[in-house]
Amino acid sequence: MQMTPHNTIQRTLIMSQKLKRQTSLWMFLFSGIFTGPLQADVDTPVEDTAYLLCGGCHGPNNIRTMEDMGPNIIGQKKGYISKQLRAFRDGKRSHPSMNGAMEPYSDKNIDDLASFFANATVDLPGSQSTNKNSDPTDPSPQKHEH
Amino acid sequence: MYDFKRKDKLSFVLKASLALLAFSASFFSSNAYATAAFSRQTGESCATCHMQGYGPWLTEYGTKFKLDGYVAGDAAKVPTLLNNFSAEIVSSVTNVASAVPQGTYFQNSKYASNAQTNVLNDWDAIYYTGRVLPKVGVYFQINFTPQTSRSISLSMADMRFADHFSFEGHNVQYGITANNAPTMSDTWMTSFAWMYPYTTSSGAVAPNATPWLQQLMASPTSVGMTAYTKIDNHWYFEAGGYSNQSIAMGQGFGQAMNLGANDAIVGGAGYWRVYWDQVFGAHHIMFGSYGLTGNVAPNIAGQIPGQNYSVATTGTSSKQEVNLDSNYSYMMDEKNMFMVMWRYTHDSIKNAAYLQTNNGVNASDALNNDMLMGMWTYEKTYNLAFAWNHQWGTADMALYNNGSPITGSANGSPNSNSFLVEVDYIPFGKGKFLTDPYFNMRLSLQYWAYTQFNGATTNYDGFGRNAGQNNTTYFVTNINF
Repeated sequence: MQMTPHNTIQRTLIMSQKLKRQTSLWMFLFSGIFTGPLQADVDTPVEDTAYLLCGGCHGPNNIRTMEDMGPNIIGQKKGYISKQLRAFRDGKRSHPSMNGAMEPYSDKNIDDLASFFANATVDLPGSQSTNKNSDPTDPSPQKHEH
Repeated sequence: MYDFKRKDKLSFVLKASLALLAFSASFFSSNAYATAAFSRQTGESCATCHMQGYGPWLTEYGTKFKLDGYVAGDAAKVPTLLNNFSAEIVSSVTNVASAVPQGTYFQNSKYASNAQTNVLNDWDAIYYTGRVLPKVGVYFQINFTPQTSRSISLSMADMRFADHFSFEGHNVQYGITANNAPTMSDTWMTSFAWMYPYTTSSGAVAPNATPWLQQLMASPTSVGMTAYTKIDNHWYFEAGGYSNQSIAMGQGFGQAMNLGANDAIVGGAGYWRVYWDQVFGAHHIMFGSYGLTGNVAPNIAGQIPGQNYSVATTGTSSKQEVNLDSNYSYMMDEKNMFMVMWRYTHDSIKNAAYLQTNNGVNASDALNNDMLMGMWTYEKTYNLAFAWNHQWGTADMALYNNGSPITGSANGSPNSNSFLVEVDYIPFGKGKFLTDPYFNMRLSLQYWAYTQFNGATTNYDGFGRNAGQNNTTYFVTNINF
C-alpha cells in the first residue's frame, strides 16, 4: 500500500524527506569516503536488528507495551512488512523515526527482517504466542525468543 | 623523534584531510534526524529516545537503548569511531536577586564580576558516545568550563557491555558498566546524575550541604564498576562498588582532587540500585531505591584530603546514603504528557574520633533531602515544570559553616527550602526540520526561589544576607550538534 498525501502537512513532510535524501546523496558524493555503495547490505544479524532497533519502539520482543509505541509487527505478513519498510526507506511514507532507521538497509536486509517478523513467535508472561502468518517454506527462524 | 619524509608527510596530510572530511560529514549527514551521535547511529530523531526531543528524560526506547549498551542502529554514515563524536555549547544569562561579590564563584580575577546579572558560557562539551563493539558502547563527556572554573575535565564516563537472553519465558537484559560516579549508569531523572533541573547556573549560589551522591556527581572524583540486569522489562537490579580516584588519576581527568570538594571514598563503597516499573496503557509508574555505603574522609572546611592530613592518622568516618524514588508519567494524548517525580534522600555519617577532637565535628550527622517535581510537556516541544526541594539535617558548624559571607551558615545548619519554576522550548529534534540533522537546541527560563538557605531565612550567613537574596533567574541555551 502506498500512502497518498492527503493534506498539506503530510505533503510537506514527504517533500522534506525527499529533500533530505537528495541532500544526503550529494553529501555522500561530495565526501565519497568510507561510505561505500548506497544501500549495501548491513551485516548486523537480523535477530540483533530486530531486538535492539525494532524492539525499542515496538516493545520488548516486538510486542507493544505502551499506547504511544509502535504497532505489533511480530506475525505481520512478510509482503506487507517489506513494502512498508521500503516505503519508509525510500521516503514514500513519512515517519521521523522509521525513515532514518530504515535508510541504511538494502532490499535484502528488509526482506530478511520481514521474514523474521512474519515467522517469529514470542512467549512472554501474560501474552499469547503470536504467529498467524508463518510461511513454512521460508528459511527464517520459526521461533525466536530474546 | 620521528622524522617525516616528504611521502610520509603527504600521506599524513592526506589521511588527516580525509579524516577531517569524514568527521565533518558525520555532522552533516542529512538523513539522520538529529545531531547527536546516538541519533546518527540509529537514524532516528532525538525524540525517539527523549520525551522532549532533548535529554535526559528517556522514553522506553531510550531506556532500552542505554541498557542494551548504546549499540543499536546501523545508520551511521562514517565509521562509528568517528560518528561517535558530538558537541554541546551551554550559554546563559544569570540574574541573582542580590549581587554575588567577586571571588565567590569565579576562581579567577579576569572574569570576575560584581554584577547581579552575568552572561556566561557555562560550559562546553565534547561527547564520544555510541557503539564501539557489537555489544560494547560508551558515553564520554569532556567538559570545558572557560569562565567559572577555567577547567577541562572528564565530566561523565560510562563504558558498558550488555547482552540479553531468554530464560523460561523471561526476557533478561544484563550488563556491566564502568563509570565515574554512582548513578551515572541510571536511566531516571530521580537519580543524581540525570536529575531535574537539567542545567543550573554556574553563576548562582547553592546551599553548602548536598547529599553525598550529588557531590560525587557534581564533582566526579570516584570510579567504579557495577553489574545490572532488567527482567521482563519490569525489575531492575544493579550492584557494584566505587572508590576514590587517586589524586594523579583525578587530576588527569581534570578534577580538583586536592580541594576537598567531596566526602572522598576511602577504600571501597558499595552501591545498589533496584526499581520496578510498569506500563498501564498510557500510564507509566516506577518505584525504586538506590544508595551508597562506605568509609570517607569528610570534606571539612580547611582540610585538604591527601595533603593536610593522613587518613591513617585521622581515621575515617563511615557514611551511608539511601534514596527512595518514584516516577509517574501519563501520555494523555499525542500532544500532552504529564510527569510527576519524587525523591527522598537520607545521609548518615559517623565521624572519626580524631575529627571530633581536632575539627569539632559531631559524633554523627544526618542530612535529608526531599524533591518533588511536576511537569507538563506539549508536543514534545514546550515544557512547564514546578519543583520543590527541601533539605534538613543535623547542624554541624565544622561541616557547613565556612565563615564566609554568602556561602557560610551562621548556625551551621544544612536546612534549605526552595521552589523552582522552569519553562523549556525545544523546537528541533523531532525529525520535522531540515535543521534537525545539524543541531538540536533547548531554550530554558528558570526561576529558583529560596525561603530558607544554609539554615535560616534572614541573615543566614551572619553577615546580613537573606535567603531571598539568592533567588536566581536563569536563561540558558543548550545547543547540541
